[in-house]
Amino acid sequence: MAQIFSPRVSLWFKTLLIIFPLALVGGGVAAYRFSFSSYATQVGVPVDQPVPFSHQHHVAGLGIDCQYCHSTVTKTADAGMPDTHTCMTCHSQIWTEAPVLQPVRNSLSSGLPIRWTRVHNLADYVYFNHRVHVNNGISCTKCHGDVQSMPLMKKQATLQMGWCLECHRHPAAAFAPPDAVFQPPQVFTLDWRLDADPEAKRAVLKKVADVPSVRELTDCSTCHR
Amino acid sequence: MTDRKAKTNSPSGEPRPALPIVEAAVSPEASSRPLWRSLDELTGSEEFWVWARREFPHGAAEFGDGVGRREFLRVMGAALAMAGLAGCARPPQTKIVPYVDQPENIKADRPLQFATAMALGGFGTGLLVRSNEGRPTKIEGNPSHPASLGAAGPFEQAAVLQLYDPDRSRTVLHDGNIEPHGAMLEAVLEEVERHRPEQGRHFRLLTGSVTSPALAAQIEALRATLPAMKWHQWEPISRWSIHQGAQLALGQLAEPDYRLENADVIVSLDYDFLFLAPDRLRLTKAFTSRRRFDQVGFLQPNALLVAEPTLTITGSMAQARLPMAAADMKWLAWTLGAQLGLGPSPARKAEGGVRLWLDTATAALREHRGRSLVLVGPGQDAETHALVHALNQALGNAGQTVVYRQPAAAQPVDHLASMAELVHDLESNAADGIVILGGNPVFTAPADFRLGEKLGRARFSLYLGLYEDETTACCRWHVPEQHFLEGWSDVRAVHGETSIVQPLIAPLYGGVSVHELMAAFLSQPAAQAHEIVREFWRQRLVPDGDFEKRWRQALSDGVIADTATPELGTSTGGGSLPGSARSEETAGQGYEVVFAPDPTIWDGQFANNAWLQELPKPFSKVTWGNPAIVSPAAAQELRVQNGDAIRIRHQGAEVEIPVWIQPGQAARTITLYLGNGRSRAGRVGDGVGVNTYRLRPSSGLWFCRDVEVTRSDRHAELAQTHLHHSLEGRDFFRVLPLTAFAQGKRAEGREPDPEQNQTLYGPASLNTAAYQWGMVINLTSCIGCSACVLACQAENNIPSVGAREVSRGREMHWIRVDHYFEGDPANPQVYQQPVPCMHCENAPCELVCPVEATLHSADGLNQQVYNRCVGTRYCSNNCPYKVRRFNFLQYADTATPSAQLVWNPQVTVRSRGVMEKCTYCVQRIRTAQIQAQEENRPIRDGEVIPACAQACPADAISFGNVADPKSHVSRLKTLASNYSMLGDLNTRPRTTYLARVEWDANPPASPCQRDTA
Repeated sequence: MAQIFSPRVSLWFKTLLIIFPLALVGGGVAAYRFSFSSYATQVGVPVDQPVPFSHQHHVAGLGIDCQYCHSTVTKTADAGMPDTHTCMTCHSQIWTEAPVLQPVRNSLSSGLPIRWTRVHNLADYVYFNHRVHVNNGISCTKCHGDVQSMPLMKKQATLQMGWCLECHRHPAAAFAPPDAVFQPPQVFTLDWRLDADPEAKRAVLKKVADVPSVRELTDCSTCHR
Repeated sequence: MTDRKAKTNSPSGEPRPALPIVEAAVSPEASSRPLWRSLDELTGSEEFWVWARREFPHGAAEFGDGVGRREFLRVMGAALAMAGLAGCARPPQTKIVPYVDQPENIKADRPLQFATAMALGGFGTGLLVRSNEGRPTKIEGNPSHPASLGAAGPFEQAAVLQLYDPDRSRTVLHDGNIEPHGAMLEAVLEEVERHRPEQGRHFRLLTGSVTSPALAAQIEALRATLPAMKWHQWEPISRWSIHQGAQLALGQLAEPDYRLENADVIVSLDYDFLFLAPDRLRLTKAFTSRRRFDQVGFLQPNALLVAEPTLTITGSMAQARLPMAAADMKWLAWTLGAQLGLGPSPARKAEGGVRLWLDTATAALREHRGRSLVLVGPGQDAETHALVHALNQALGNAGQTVVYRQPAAAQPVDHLASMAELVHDLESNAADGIVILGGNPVFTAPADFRLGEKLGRARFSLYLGLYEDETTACCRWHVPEQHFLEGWSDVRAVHGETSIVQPLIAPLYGGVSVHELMAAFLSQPAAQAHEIVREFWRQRLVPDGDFEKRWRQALSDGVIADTATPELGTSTGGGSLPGSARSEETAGQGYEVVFAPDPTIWDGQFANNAWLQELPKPFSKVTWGNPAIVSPAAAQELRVQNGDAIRIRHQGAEVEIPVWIQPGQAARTITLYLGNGRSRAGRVGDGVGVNTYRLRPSSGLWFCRDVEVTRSDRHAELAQTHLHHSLEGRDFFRVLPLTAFAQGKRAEGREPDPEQNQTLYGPASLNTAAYQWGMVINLTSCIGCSACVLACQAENNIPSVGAREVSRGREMHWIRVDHYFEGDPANPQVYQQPVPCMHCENAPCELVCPVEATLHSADGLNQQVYNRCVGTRYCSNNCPYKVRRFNFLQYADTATPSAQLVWNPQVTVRSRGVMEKCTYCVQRIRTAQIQAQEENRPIRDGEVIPACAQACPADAISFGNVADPKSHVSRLKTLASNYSMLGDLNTRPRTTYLARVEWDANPPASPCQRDTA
């Protein structure tokens, strides 16, 4: 009976036997690594906006408080986006002719809102609440990063569930004293450490005693409803 | 009747095979069984058990939509490829669109509530409507409104879906062609000018019952312009016999104001006052306030005795219920009167069960003079009402349990006579210009009036309607009407308390306000409804100064202070007891037909509302349609089973309709629900059910005797949830006799509850949080009105699935109202039981989920995580309570833009392939938690109210922290009547029930026994 397969096939087959599982594992690892890549998460990628708004200029340069524009951050789940009138409080007086501000002036005259591109996009089934975080002493920079040094806004964190759970599992490390959430230097300084300020540390520890247990903080229905 | 097909196996005329269900049901052994849920279950037919034992009915879990294997593989292959690719893509870039000019107080997750009111049959119920960023999303009762007291029924709550209904009419039509608004206004002005020379002799106005003071003033103003015009009113569910009866007895038109909280004994003759009364929410609260049994030693319950033709929710609460033909009710009233020494005794004597019921009622009423009440329904004639008014007077109840008030309607009239006059005038060409303000009268008017044909004779006819409906088809002009959430108006409750109807949203579909249309007839085409209503009230609110302040107060309270109609003297004595000439009339030996408003779509105005169409009707649990309700005895005589059609002929009209065999139905009475079978309702309501108005003659608006009934050969598959989620005869419902309750005995089940630590899984160590949520449902005060079902649907974005899906057992309601019968099928005892998720501490569902999509939270919630769920349905399989619902298809409508506006943004919209169930309204719990934490205080008892508990008019649902022994819910759980459903399984449910307390020996009245006619 004639041989069906030539001797070389056997070699190929053996090679494949080795390559196939490797490729499977390698593919899995690659897909896993991909999900954390900046391409997938868009971390650190500046996002184009209709108006190239610079947090660096407004926050670090001019010293405007976060809440001036994000006015509902302590009151509602949403931090709040400034309406056109908020922009125009200053820009009806300064840079009135600047071409980059044309979309703002258009919005005011036409009554049509400015359509900003979302930078931090959570899935629809996540019910994140700014109010409860900020009022309990989670500084803006904890999640949004060094905003005052960003000419164009970009993500600092992946916003993946694992990242959320890091804090929810170790809440004490995340707190700033409630009165320091918006106050310089803490709010603008990423390397602010609790240990540096004994007074603040006491306030934080008191706060930590009040927050729900880790078990409660990691309940699914805390964020998903 | 959808999906109906001729039965091939039983050709007409040939006797059908035996009907085991019906025959067993009328057999004497039937009454000895324990609780049963349906006649099928009672008789234990094999088909039933095969059906019930499946997790989902046959076909529900299969991919049975006529897709072949190849097609399936092709679709699935493509889907798999897409899913793989989708994983590599980033989430799409989305936009943030802030306001140009941020309005004050509008914040994304802080909904606002506005007080407004909704009219049904002309009478207002005060509401609080939640507005999420300008979208009305949820309707709740207004605690400060006397007709609501914080509760809301299914009709009120479903109104928000009607608001967004894409089928609502959007344009002015003239002879079917779209016309601009201005052309309509010109035609209106022209029409008024045409009638002016003759002072409006040929001009007619047709409205429903009008209580709106501003509209009444406008109609008066129009009358001043056209003094000879006539104003007609028509409501298919009219209250005229009540008013007229009061006139006969008291000498003036009056509206009885019942004080059920003061009544020890209530006798109702054909009056479903827990559903039919315009102030049913208030009456329910008052009625159930005397049957809470929620504290040790409570022993002043009221006793209810009901005689009625068909089983209603009121009848289900009765201690002694008598099924009796509507036509016999007058005789019953007179016999009762005679036994209490009032009026002559009818010649026909009561026998058997009727005798027993009458004697019980007589004794109870005698014993509780001044603390009792006799009521009679709007279907009975004025004479009977007069007799009942006289009875209450004689028993000393007037002034105690009933007071009389002026009717709240601007002009109470005999609606039937009013309509008859209009039809006559149209026929004789005495009327040639007619304006119809809402109501769809062409559909609802008595069939023999042929209103639709006669409207065609008028030169000018204009109809203001929410939909392009049956009346639109018969009128030359159609004007789209504003929904009550879109425009300003005012409305009075049945006892006169007036609310300003405040809009929450600008008209979505260009609707016109009724006030603006009337203003056009008054030559003020530019007037705005807001100004009209405000100016009207400026003149009335102003007496002591600051109008603006009082106006704002009225808007924020939802009711204007001191606007109740004045009380009339209780012993006006102007009337005398009318003769009882017709009290000898009996239903006779023929079949009787009773017309009743549909329990879920009322007179037909909610036919296009999918929430209401899919709300199971009490006891029959039929959705999407209106079978004729027949008794087991009649079914046996007609040889029909559920779904088999019968033909009913009366006065030349004929209706073919499938039947539903209903225990507790009067033997020879067939009940027909009105409002179904619409031909121009919209995409949802068209062709659902059978139009029974066709059979409703002007001579018998409420019931007709001696109708001709024959069996037809057709059969319809009724979409009912009757047997879905059956608990197969296990220990679900417990009854505690009153004497046992008084002695503090426990509500024992058939199996003893196991010890807490008897479990393989160790103690429930997960429940570590300070708050442990739990619920108690009081089975004695629950009346089974389904308000909770609809509240849950609105709050939790629960989709409607349609008739076909319901008949496959795929309905999605998170809370269902189960009912159980006990005893004789001709007149069973009825129990009702709302069943939401039990949130078991040892939850069987959690153990079988392979992906941990359902698991426990620290505060005792059984969580369902939609984004983890892969749809194995193991959890539903393992749930002993059958409270889990699976999205077999993409039920949530993500395609219709206006349908999305009604969604609650606090709750995830579920997609296909995901399991869901009651969450205890976790969104409300978390909101309260955040609020409390911010204010540095514990969550107050009663601060978290789930939607079902909030809507409940009977206050039967309590919710709170069971870890706090002082909380209301903890106190209820310590009562001896508290029990866990299927507690012997040691699931340790957080939802527990207070056993139904039944009157074995009645402390307030003499012993009441259940009996049969």
